[in-house]
Amino acid sequence: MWRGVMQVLTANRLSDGAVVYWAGDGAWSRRIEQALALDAAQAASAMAWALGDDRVVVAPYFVALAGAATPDARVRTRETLRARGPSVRVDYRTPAHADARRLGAGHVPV
Amino acid sequence: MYRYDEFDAAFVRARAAEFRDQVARRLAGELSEEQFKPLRLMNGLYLQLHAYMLRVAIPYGVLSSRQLRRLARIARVYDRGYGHFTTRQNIQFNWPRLADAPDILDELAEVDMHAIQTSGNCVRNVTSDHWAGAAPDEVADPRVWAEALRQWSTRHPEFSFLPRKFKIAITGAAHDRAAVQAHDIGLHLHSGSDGRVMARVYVGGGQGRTPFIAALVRDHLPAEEMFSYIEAVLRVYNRHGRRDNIYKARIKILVAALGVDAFAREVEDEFQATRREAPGPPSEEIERIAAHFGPPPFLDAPARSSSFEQARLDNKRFARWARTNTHPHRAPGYAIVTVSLKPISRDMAPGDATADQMDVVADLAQRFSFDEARVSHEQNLVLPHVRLDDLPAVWRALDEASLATPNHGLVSDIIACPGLDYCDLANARSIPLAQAIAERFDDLDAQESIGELKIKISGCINACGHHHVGHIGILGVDKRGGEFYQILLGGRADERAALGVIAGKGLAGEAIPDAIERVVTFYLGVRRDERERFIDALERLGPEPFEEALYASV
Repeated sequence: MWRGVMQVLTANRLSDGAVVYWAGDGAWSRRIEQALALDAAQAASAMAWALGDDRVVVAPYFVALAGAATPDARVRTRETLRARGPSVRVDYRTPAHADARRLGAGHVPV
Repeated sequence: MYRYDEFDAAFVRARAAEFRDQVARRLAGELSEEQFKPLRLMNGLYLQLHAYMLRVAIPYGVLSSRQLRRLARIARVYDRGYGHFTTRQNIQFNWPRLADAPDILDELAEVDMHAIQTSGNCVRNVTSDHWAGAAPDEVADPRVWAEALRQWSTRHPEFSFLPRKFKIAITGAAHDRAAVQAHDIGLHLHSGSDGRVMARVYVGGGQGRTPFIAALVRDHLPAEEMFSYIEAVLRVYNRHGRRDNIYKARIKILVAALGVDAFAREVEDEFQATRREAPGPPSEEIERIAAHFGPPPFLDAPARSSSFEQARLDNKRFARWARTNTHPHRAPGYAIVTVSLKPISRDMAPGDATADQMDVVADLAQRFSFDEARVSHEQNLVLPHVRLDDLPAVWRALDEASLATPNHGLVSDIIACPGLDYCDLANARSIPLAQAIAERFDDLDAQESIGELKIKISGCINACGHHHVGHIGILGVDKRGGEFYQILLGGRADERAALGVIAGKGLAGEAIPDAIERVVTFYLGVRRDERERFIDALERLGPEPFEEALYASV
């Protein structure tokens, strides 16, 4: 975790490995837009919940935010792909983004 | 083809049942993730970026039509309708649910397949020449020895917890199509002066963070002694391999640290002991295995086929495909067919096949290729034994299934790892870059004119995309959260294996197709004639002028 930086908590769902985000109150969401932005104190509490929730999620970690639900530049490409799904085919996208066209060049420069 | 004996079948079924119990206990909360993770990895189940990934072993890349149909069924029923064939001749399913994994393993066990030893610090799936038993330049069939090695290495108690993973490749032809010198142990079979099958043994090859071409440690090892010799190599590795540092744990680091001569001497001393204690399978067992790989009942066909020749005259598309994707066979009247999994399209990743496509290839294998298909480490499929007379029918079926891209060995036949689109380890994406390069060279005439050119792309330093041994290698790196790519020039994975050299600074992804086009244009301008391949010209002139072309307008 980066102190002083707002962050979201993410993990993979145990049942299918899907990417999920901590939405507060014991809830996990598939959509990064619904992730709760956490300060340091909230982050510690959320991580404690996640580690105790290992029948639901695995491998929790924090993603630093540059803006509202936008991953910091240090991790942007990876976390954009985690949030949206593989960029190679529209039908491989996560449900929230399955109707999107190809990722714009601004997200991933290829 | 080899069929499991009772021992194999019972063992694989038992492992599937064991994993079913482990998954149930994990889902019930009786096992923690920390306890469960090594158990799932022992069964080939990884957790990747978006989902679980199941890596299924395809021993030495050989599949029956029944096995290929089963892989198609698994893709259709348990995944998203496709699978990804890898540079280790395996298949990966990218979206299985944890609860379904035991059912998938049961389905695999029914067709003599499994996912064991596709992860972990053990001897991994033995890889081989995808033209084995069909190539005209073959001296000895490597599948016989690969199968014996599979049996020897499966659950070998002494080599289940090596310092790091261990990869063995074997070829039996003059031209190395299995990249044996890029492996921990590479075996190149050849014919001894008395006609016996001998093995040239290379040790300490590998790619990744610190790449090495393997060193030749034995030139004339009688093939039947390879088991004792490999045991000796592994014992020396187990004794001295670095377990304290994951980056120095592969055998290539040990060979480099000890020096090739000292390493070879130590192996030789160990070999004198192991050949007495563990002499390898008796000759009857090798003969029993060899009986599974006898030549299929080829028809006594003429070397030329008038119907094939006529079809080439009648149809230019078929003629082009026949030029690029069919290859001479050791049996007169037959051909080897490469089924391209590299369409010039944004809809499929290199090495991907849909369930329907797998079924098509399985049907063709059953009908036209003595029930056999192969997976190449270059991420294509192969129909190894097709009659020349049948090639038009095979092509039509492949073409209807978008499997007849005429690009084998050409600039768009690109190896690409899953990269950051799927892989938890990757720094950058490989697949969209491969697609962009292929699109840049979508003119099939131009591709043929350029000739053989092997582009290999890895999304990280682990080098699953073999970038170190590409004529042009491309390595994805992370630069402040963005994707950049380093280019290497002059690598090759054949019997004259060499590592590519890094050419200057990394480029942004969108600059790569232009850079590749510039270097290819430069090659076309300097080659002596159409027979001088890209790699030949590069070796003749050195990498510097090619590097200059690469960066000409950057």
